[in-house]
Amino acid sequence: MNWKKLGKELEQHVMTGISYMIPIVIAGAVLMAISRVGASFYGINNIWDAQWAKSANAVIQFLHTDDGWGGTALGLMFPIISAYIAYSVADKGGIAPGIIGGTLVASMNAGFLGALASGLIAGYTVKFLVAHIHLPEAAKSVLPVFIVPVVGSFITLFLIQYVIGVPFAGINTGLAAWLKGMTGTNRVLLAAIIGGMVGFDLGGPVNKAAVTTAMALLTSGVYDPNTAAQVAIIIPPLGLGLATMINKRKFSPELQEAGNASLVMGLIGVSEGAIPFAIESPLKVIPANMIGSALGSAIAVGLGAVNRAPISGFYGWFAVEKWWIYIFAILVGTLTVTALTLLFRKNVTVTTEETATTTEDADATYFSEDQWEN
Amino acid sequence: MSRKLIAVTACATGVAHTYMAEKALIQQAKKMGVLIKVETQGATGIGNRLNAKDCQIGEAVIFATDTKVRDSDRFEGKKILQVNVSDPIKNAQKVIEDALALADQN
Repeated sequence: MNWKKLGKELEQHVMTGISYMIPIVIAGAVLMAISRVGASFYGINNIWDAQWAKSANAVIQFLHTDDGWGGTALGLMFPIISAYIAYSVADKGGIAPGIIGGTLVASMNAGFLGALASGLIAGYTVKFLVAHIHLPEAAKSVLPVFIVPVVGSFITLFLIQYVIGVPFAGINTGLAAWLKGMTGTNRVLLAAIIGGMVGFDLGGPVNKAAVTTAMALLTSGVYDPNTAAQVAIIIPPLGLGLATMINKRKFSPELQEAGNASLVMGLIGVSEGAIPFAIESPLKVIPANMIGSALGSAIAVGLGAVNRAPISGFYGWFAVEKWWIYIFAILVGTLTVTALTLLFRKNVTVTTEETATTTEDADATYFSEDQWEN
Repeated sequence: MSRKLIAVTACATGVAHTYMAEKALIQQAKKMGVLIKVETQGATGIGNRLNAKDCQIGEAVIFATDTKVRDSDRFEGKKILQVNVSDPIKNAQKVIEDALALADQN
């Protein structure tokens, strides 16, 4: 067995699961945020409490209902990630055992790790069944319509209930309690470390490790790492984009072009916008990014901003608790990156010949269908 | 005759990297005189879907994906280069060269 290949395969399965879970988390988190921000105008800070269901004020009553909708959506997180991890491993047959296993994980409170395990167990069980059970032609359809869903679900549920469920629930609550119990310096330090990791390689393995962990903790109700990560994601592209606007002479025409794209990507929450800069002069760009991101994350978490959704783009900013602090933190981080970048870089001697070629559009039809087929 | 490749791009969120990788591959292929068709499996569905004929024509398939490729049975029996969605964004030339080298192997 090739371990590196197996690792890559597992990563792909988990990313597939996360990719299908993200819209659910966003829907749920924003629905809840709307109800909580709305409730705060009425001075209510426990809108989920059953007493508001009978409120005389129709708006408050609705906000309570809306909070429930958010909860309904978030309740699907674990079943969906488990289902789609299993789907990634074993195609359609994995979905039923995966979704059922994920629901058990949710009810046992076995957390994100439990949901990952559930998806992988369901997926590989189904894959094994499909590969190793050979039925005569006439009875072939028994496998997908009966054996895979029943046996697949049974094995998955059995393993979750009696083997992994309880220890994983222990890990989940222990970790969550430890992180929630963090105060003062430790909390800020944790945020700064996450921020620095996110800023380090812009979508690479270190960044992904930090963001995925933050997302996992988000599902256990620990919000600091997510807040830190989401702030840090957009600081490098915004900071570098801003730097190209402030002082064009320090950047080649290609990088000026990349700077505009970088600003836009930063606003929609894509840290890779900063990649062209990191490739061109990594030793100047990476430290600036890490410092800026770490600082922004530390400020946001330290001053009490809470982002409950895995959204870093501007459209998520106003659903953040204490959004003014959040935006302030982004601003400080961004300006830090900008200032450090401008400080580190020297003016470039502008070569004008290159300008024409850089703006060419990517065009899917640079060849004709005839050329393609012959 | 030009070299021909096909590719699928997909990322976890399906809004940005998928399309950045597509753009990077097409721009680089154009520069290298390679014909490429890129299918994007994003959050809003599949773009520029590769049909059976495309799959047959492409000498090799580039999967620049962080997630499972949808309908991957279309590429059964093809030579497949699996890379991360961020690889072509960082260095499209290497990805395309690797794919061509893979196509030349027997």
